Amino acid sequence: MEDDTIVALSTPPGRGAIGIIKLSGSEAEPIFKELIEGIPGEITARKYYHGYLHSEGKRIAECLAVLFKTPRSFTGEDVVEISIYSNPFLIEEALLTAVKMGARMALPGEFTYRAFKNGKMDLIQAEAVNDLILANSRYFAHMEFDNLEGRLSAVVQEIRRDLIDLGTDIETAIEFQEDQHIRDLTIGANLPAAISRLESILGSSRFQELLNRGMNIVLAGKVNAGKSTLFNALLMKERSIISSTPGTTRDYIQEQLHIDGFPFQITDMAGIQSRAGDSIEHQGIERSISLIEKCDAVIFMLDASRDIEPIDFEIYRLIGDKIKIMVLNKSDIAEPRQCEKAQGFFPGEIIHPLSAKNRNNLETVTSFLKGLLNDLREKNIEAVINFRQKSILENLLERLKKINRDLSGKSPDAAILAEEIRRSIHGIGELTGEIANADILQEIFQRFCIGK
Amino acid sequence: MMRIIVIGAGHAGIEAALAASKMGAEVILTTIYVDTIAQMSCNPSIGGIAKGHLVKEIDALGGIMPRAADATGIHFKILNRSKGPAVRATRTQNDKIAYRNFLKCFLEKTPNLFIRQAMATRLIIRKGRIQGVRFLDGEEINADAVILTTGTFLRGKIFIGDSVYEAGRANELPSNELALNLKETGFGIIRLKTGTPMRLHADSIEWSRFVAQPGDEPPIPFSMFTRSKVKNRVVCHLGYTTPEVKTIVHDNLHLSPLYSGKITGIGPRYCPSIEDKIVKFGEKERHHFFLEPEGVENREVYVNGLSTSLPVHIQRKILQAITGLERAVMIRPAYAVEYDAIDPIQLKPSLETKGVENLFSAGQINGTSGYEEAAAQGLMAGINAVLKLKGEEPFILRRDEAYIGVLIDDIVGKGVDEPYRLFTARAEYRLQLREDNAFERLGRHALDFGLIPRKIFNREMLRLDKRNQTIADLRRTKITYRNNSCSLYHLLQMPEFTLEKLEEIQKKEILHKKNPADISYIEASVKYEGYIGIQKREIERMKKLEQTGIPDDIDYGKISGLSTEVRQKLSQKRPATLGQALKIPGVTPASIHAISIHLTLQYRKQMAGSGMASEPGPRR
Repeated sequence: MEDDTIVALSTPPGRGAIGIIKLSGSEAEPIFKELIEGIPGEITARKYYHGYLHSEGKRIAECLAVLFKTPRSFTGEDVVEISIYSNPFLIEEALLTAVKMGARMALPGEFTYRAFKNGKMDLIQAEAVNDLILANSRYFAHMEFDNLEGRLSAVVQEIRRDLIDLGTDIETAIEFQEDQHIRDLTIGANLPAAISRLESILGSSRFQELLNRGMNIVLAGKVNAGKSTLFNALLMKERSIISSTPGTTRDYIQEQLHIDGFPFQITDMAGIQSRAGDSIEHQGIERSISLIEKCDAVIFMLDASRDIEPIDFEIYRLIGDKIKIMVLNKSDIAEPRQCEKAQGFFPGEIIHPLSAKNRNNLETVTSFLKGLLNDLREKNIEAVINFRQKSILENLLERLKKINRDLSGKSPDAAILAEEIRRSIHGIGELTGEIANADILQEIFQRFCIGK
Repeated sequence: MMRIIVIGAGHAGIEAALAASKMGAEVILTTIYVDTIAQMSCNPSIGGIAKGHLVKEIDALGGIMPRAADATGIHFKILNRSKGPAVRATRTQNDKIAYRNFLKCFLEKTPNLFIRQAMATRLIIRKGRIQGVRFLDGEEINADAVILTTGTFLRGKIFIGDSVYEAGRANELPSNELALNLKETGFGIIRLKTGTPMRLHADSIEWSRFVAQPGDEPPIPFSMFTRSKVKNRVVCHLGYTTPEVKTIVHDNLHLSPLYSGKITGIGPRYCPSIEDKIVKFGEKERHHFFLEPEGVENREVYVNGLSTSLPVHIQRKILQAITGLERAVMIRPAYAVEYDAIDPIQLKPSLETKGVENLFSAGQINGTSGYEEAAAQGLMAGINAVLKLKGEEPFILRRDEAYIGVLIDDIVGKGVDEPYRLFTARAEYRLQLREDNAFERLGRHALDFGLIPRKIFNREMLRLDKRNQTIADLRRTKITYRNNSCSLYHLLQMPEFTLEKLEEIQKKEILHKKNPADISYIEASVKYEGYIGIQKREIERMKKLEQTGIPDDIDYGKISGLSTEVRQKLSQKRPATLGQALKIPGVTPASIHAISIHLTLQYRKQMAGSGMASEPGPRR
């Protein structure tokens, strides 16, 4: 595999301003020189070169390219990155040309795998790269960066250390306590500390999920209150529409909106109310309840051009205790006293007048959403974990709790305890990619005076 | 008739000779000195944690050690009683002279087995195959296979302070010519070291100063062959060194060959000398030791814990500084011994040497330590020598099948860098490898090889059936406990329940005429069920990995992602499978992944050439 050089498009496929083709392996440099016209014979690493990609003797695209020499590259091998205009046909032709010159199409994740294999990063870091690519928000991307720096690694290493200590005590008790009469042996370690550490990591993972998929915001209000107008206005303001997903039942519309780099899933309760607008159909109520239940906050819109009607109260009741902001739309065309009037119907609530159409006072909504984020930010976050890591950590937590319970019981089965500890350490190994079995015996000999 | 020569009549040699003769070979068991057949060179004890497990496995395979231990046992103890059935282990103290006599007489009565006092000097090898052995007395004996069980005798060297002399055990002739011959033959030789404490005269010890450590009542024997009652006949004692001992050792450290640099051989970490303990654990003011009688009539007492190579006059000073030993009379001083061993990486899992066909080795020569480890290997080498000569598949126990499997797999797979001792912690599948199920694991093999009589096999199978019947009954029997209906089986799964407690609740016997092994077996089967299920699935996965073959001509230099260190190790040890590769110290799972990717790619390349494409399968 020494001669095996891999190539792939490392930006998302499709049309765009820039696509980056990445090569890694010992042939990366020769292929690079052959592939691009106008590259000098002697090239300096980490310097951009301008040239032309050519295929079968013709120039196919202008490009910029840079070479990273082993071991100072992402994979630890020679790496070449070629930036060209992203066009599926162009990219395909470039990749095919590279393959003709001796490269092989990379398997999914193979660049990261090579980096892991070449000792450029541990498994947690390798996964963090993947998560970084998939990260859905700027904030999350920062957190992933922390992972790369080994933050989660440090936490689990600490727990691993505690477990090895505990395992050493137990193995010593098994092998030597009675045979060698070791009396100064106290079994117990920082288990409770490790348990609460894990609980805190796992506790914050809900927050991470929230960050990753985006907060769910429901836009509630009767038909024609101007919800879509507000929605579009928000999107225009932020210019960051990511996707448009119609609700699976087509009863509501969901769109993703980014504010300060954070995703929000905004759900418009549109189709839920009956056409008449006076009351909510039975079916609609059920759906509304479930939507509101699942959401993280509600934007409740009143219509200043019409009277406050029974349906407004119905919606208000459905929202209940949820975090919400109440806005009074169409305040530009309404009578000046309409706001006070509305306020009178909802004592104790603050009603923000705005005009979605004129984009008046939209800041009240965006600052409400930002406020939600700030609240979340203040929560303590230990580390960002992905789904696989989460399931391993949850498993680990269960084991630690069982070990802790057994330890406090009367004459626990040491062989079972040792098995649980081994499995826990193994679980951590799965997380970090390092599995060492001999550790515990080594520890015993270092810590205890044993022998005849 | 095939002829096998066994060189050395210690714990390994005896088992090898007996197994081979039972399986139909003519066996010549040679030893330098017939009077020291089955000598317990160090402590007067058989078994202990992990070692007791081995003894039970040896018993299930028809070996003699457990029967000898029972017949000559003078103190019986089950260790780790409260720590769970998996790690419970039997240990006996033995009358050393009786032990030797028992085995010598047993060997003399064995058909097809001939004891011969002779010092082997040369292996006769032709075309890479063993042909026979030449002895010091001038005779050459032809053989179809040879088993080396030389213990510490190969270029053995004794150290007591300044005094250094050549000997296999104190005052016994070493085997120097054979050692050189092995080296010339091309074996990689390592130099190891071990030590033994002083022996004192029982009547010179002030026994009242020590804490008595009586055996268990009733005493429980090792062997399924033992029908007569065993008896505790001596008491061991526990004592402590004093701060004065610490000072004496510190002041005279320069006189210890271990610290002056005279001894270069590597000693075991788990068996340090008193000087090692005092240097390594400087903060400890005292260290414990045990006084173990070496027999009933025999007045020698073994001082377990005071192994040393300090000069004799310092040894006396140490004894004088210990409460209760002030007037102790030293019959034999403590000493260290350095000896040659074959790096066991040169062995096949059958214990046949890779270099010379039909040449096997077992015991301390393979870099292990301990009577039980030696006996276990001897037994396996004896069985495998016969199977080899018969042209049959070797008998290889897996790591999940027996501690013997763990032991041999460890040493032939990884080699040794210190005298290897078995620990239960070395077994991945510790919950399955118990004393109480040794017969279940190995009895069938023993019957097939003719190592145990059918009568014994049938009797033990009945016992096993009875145990499993009881477990089935536990599942069926529903009771109301704390207002919940549940089965006895379910109750027994809880940590606080024992079979005894269930009988109390039921107010009747659940299993009639049960012995401790029955109880242990039943409790373990119920309590470990979940864990064992998981382990069995893991074993299946491991088997797959174990069996993924690595071609002999693989070039590790061509696999990217391997560190230079890993590359060197792999190129040197040349594992046959991914499983073996993983066992080499320093070879990480990531490197295994890299090799596996390499193999897959190679395979795809080949298959692409031939128009086929699928994953590589197991090679064996």
